[in-house]
Amino acid sequence: MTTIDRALLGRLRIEPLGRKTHDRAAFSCGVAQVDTYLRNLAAGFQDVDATRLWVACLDDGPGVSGFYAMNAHALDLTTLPEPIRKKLPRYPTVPAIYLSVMGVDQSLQGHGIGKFLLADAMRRAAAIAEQIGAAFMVIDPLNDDAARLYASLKFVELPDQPSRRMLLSMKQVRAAVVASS
Amino acid sequence: MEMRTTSEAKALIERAARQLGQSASDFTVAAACRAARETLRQYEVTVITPAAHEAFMAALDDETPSPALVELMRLHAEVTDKA
Repeated sequence: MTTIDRALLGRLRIEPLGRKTHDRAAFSCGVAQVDTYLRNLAAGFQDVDATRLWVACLDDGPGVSGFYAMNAHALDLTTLPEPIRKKLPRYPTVPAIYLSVMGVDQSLQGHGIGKFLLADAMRRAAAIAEQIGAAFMVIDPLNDDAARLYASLKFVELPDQPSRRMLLSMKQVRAAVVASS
Repeated sequence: MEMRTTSEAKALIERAARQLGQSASDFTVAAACRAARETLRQYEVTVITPAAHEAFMAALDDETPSPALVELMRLHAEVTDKA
């Protein structure tokens, strides 16, 4: 069960992943594919500008308490019928931001860091959308618990995807940022 | 690449490969490449298929954030602005 530990969250600093500044090898969230992603793949993806990693570190330490990855994404709306197209922000492709991977170290799970990272990603996505335009946030729930959390934030699950995938309009993210500040 | 598989999976692959007149090895590599391209593509593009039209339109039309989302963003603002 997660209880939000505000004091702990206040000790986190979130910064861009640095190859030399962060200790990726020690990170373990308990999901092998997420651990492998951070330890072995993420820095390379970042080097070629395919994605950006944001890591949360506790106090002044180099250890990774949690992280998330985001990249530019698009929705392919080619199959939407003519009458609906007029309602679309753009056709046939709509820009979006994909929150591809997220994880919290096992030693720090259950204090709300995952939710905090999600909020951080959404605030960042809203700021990016202000700069370059993006109409949706896209996220893949790793399990039913994650899907329930995202659904409570009004992410809508898309049927007929290769893996579970959910959407939220940037209008809602922006409105939530405005309402919260 | 060396792979471990079950006899059941091996038989299935060999049967499908024979049907296409390919070796099991060629068939497996081609199928894995297709899957790999698909996996990489999913990072860049979400294809909204007809079955997902309704869900997509629901996500598009809803412009009001949920109270839970506002609360989450408020938590983030309070924690980070305090620092």
